[in-house]
Amino acid sequence: MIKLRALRSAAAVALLLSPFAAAAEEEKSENVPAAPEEPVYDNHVTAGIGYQSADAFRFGRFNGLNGQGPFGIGEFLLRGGDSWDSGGTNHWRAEGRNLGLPSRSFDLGYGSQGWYGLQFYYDGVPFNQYKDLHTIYDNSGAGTLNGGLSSSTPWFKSAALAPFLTNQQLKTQRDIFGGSFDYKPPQTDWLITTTFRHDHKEGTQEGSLLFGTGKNAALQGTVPTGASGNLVIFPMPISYDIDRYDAKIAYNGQGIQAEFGYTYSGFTDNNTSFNAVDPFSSPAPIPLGDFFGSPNGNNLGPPGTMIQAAYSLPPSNSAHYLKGTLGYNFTDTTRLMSTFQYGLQLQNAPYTPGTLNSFLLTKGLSSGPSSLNGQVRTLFGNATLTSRPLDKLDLKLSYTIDKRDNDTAKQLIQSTYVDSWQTYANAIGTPASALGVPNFIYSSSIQTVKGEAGYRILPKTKLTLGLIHKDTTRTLSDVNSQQENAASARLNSALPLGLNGFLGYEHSIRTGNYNGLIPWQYLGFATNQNNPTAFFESSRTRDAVNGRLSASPRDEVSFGFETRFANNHYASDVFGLTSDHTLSVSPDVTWTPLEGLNLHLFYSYEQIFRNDTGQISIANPVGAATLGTWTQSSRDNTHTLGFAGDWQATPDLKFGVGYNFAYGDVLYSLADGLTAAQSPILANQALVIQPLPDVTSTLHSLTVHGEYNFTPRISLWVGTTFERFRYNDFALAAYTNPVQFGNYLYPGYGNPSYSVVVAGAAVRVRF
Amino acid sequence: MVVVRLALVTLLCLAALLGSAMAQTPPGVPAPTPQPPKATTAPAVTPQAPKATTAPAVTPQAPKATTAPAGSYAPQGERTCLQCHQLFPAGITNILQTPHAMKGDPHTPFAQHGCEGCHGPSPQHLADPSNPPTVVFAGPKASPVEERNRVCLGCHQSGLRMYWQSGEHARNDVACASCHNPHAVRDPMRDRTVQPQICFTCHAEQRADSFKPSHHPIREGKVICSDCHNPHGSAGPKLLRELTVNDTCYNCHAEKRGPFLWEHQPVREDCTNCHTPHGSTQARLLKERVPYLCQNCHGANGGHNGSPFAGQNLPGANNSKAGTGLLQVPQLQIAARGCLGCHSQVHGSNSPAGLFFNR
Repeated sequence: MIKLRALRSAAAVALLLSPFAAAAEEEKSENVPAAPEEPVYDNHVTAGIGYQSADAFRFGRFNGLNGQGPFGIGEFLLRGGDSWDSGGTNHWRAEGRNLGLPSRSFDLGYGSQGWYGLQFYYDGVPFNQYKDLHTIYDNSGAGTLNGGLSSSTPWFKSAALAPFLTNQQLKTQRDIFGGSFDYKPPQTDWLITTTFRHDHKEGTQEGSLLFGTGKNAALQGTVPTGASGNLVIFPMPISYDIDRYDAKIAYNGQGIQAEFGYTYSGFTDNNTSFNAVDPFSSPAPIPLGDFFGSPNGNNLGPPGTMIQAAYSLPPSNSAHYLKGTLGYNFTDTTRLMSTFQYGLQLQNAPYTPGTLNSFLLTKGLSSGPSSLNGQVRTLFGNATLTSRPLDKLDLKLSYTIDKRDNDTAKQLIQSTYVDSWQTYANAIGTPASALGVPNFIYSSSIQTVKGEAGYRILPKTKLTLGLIHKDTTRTLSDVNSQQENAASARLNSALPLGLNGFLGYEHSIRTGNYNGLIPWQYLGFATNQNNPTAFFESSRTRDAVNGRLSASPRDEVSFGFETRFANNHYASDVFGLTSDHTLSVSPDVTWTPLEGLNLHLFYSYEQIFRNDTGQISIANPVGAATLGTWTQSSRDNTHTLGFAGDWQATPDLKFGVGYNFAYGDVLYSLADGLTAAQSPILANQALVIQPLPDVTSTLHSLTVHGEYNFTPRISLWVGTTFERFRYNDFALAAYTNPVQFGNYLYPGYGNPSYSVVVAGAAVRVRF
Repeated sequence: MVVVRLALVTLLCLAALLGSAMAQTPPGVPAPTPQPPKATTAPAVTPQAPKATTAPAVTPQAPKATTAPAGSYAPQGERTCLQCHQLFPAGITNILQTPHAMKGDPHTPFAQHGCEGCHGPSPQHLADPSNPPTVVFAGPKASPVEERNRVCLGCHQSGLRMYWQSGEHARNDVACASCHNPHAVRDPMRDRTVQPQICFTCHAEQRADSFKPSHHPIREGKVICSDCHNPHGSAGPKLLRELTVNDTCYNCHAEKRGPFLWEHQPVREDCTNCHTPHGSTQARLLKERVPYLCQNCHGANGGHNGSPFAGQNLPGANNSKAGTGLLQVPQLQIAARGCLGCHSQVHGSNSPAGLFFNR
């Protein structure tokens, strides 16, 4: 951001002043300079040092500036090659940024313009998730308990557990290498391009495991009823390799342009599973007694050992795509564009074991197939025609098909989804799943036809009308056929005094046939389970308005105003998301009060409202349970304010300042109408009377910098940034330390709030 | 379905032919006289980014090189221009360090007609400097948008620009020079640290999103707009580089691609069913807080998925249950990872035990 303003200033000024505003009084064919006399020093090497005032894990989320202390500032840009009028076309380039940080990047290029080009790059992308995750698992990356922990000791109790928790920072680092090679055969309009990209991601991120529901009463006897599930949050190991390779041949003619290419994308997970000890399991004898202050006994493992769970990590997969694109000009005013892509997505990684609980495996649980051999075919096709048959009329018509055909074979799986006795019993015992539960094999097809006509009703005013029809079909879905029709109108206009803008409106109606039997029959049930229609399948009425207005009453000042409002009403949703809307309003002003002084001020307000409805079953000790509905809404308000200024005080001295403020407030409301239904208040009723506390976030960020040129080649850059972030999300800010609840250990993520000052100075040498 | 597709293709072809026929000049009828450049609204004088200037609505144009009789061009090419434009306007000669000026490459405008390769033959400007060049790309005397874009598309119609005529930016009168600056040593749109600021000039909502607690590192320069979007036009939605939303996301998040043994339908259909990519006040770029987000679809039938998970016993909430003997701890579905605590493999599971996305 610090140098960004200066670059933008230079770029903008150059752009705005680019028209030739003066001309030669007489033609001088002699002594005409071949190149500007003023030397241009656009290569540079920058080196310096910075200092960060405090630890701020979240501040370093994407730049790696996590802790207090010094850091290096380093950048370089080196370019060379043949001059513009030498007749040669060789060029090379080397650039490095953020060299002192984990977010460093390099870019190298060499080539001969119009013939070939070679490029390599590296980009480091850190990501900090949580700074203080307390875990019962050790730091080896495996799911073994911290040294000394044993279920034979009363470690589950809070005071005893604390010494065994390790504190881990959850973060990842991406190291991305890539390159490209372009070759253009001389004197042709063909271009051959190959690119590759390798992305290695290493670190940890948050994961969680559920252990046990229910218990083996026959074996556990009168173990008191515990919670229905026990949760452990753990650092999930990440070691991914993502590769991509593209090869493409393109033709660029005046009337026709075409491309055909192949893309390979591969994902490799260097870990296949995370095998974690179930800290709630009982090696026998049972029951253990207390864990986390609640009775234990949900899980049962083989005598003498604790259960391990195999948590599957994302399976390695690959994809292949063939893609062709064509552009053809029938005339100067009529053009056809078309794209076709065929894809194949494959995955056949070995399954992780359904359970590592050998006690359950000995009871006859089928291990099933060893892998999925999954295959999905994708097909995308598009044809778009644009035309201007009359000077005032332009037309656009397009057809698009987007298909996903899942050709994976159906498998029947006996799933003990939490390694427990109860889920084991379900897996082998109930009629619906005696042979196993079939995997859902989703396929879908979306076809869209769009038509648009724009007519210039005035020389600088255009009215555009559009129609869209969208047809969606799905397999194994509550709504397997769905249609949407939309109509839109848009007015673009330019008025005197530099006033211009647009206003658009769109209305759409989506309908579909609800057939909830389809997925449930696939699972072996005779009727559906009265699930609501998911909002993305539900019938929907949508209205959207957007607009922009800008004005430049004088050359040195301009105003802008942008707004958008979209409202969705999901008509067929009985439960679930029933409506939502988004509103945004964004004014801004730019002003150049003096030559060399540029100011910009912007503000944005955004509101996101969502309304949900659900249905709860209320237990009644004296009769049948009753069903009641509840509603929940969230209103997300955000305000963003920014100011930026650049001042070229003298030819050798310039300053810049930037301030950004962002405030977000998420308000929750919850209502059910059930709170007075019975007395005494039942547990479920009590749960519905308190909405979540508000969640607010506040960001202040102020940057001031200056640069002084000692000579045309040497300058000193000095800058500082103050940033203050406050985030009161109860899930993070309130529970900064681990807390033990009935059936889970809340790990304590560490408060992400921070206040930090970063200052630095650097010398830039240009040549 | 096949019949429908054939009908559509036929319709497209007929429309193309119709448009073609209507656009052709009948024999014997003089070609329309080129209109003189029209003054357009002055763009904002701002260091933030170039703004789209206003001009008559963009209409689809085929690529067309700026051509004129040889005698119309300045006899000395760019050298003629440099007699006056050595230093003024500031930075104008920076173009000599850009690919456009490489005379050794016969495709460049400088190799053909120097400055007039883009600005068009401008004898009127040479005769009287108060007359603007034939094509002016910015400022109060800027040419109509289609005139300016025609020059650029004359060479840059292929590759990423293949769908320009049908794109949103073309429809909204955005000129190439509204974002690009061919006179800059380095086009700011191709600088990863600068590009988002230029886009934010018009896309204010996305700028505000980038300041939200959860966001892609757009402001930080690690993910920029053109990593996902192709502003020149696309066959897919939202001007995406890839043809679908999910394929765009899989470029960096390939572990979500699958196919999985247990698939989650909304994930397979569209990542934006749950996520909002530019920024969110919710963690993980979610549209709504879990569990409510999950209950957008799973909210019925009285099971635990239909429970109204609430704020009792959370810090900051009114604990109205004190003394009632009810549970004194926050609900698991609220305080921890919400539904994702147990159903953590919500993007899909490849474990036989992953039926409910637990493993």
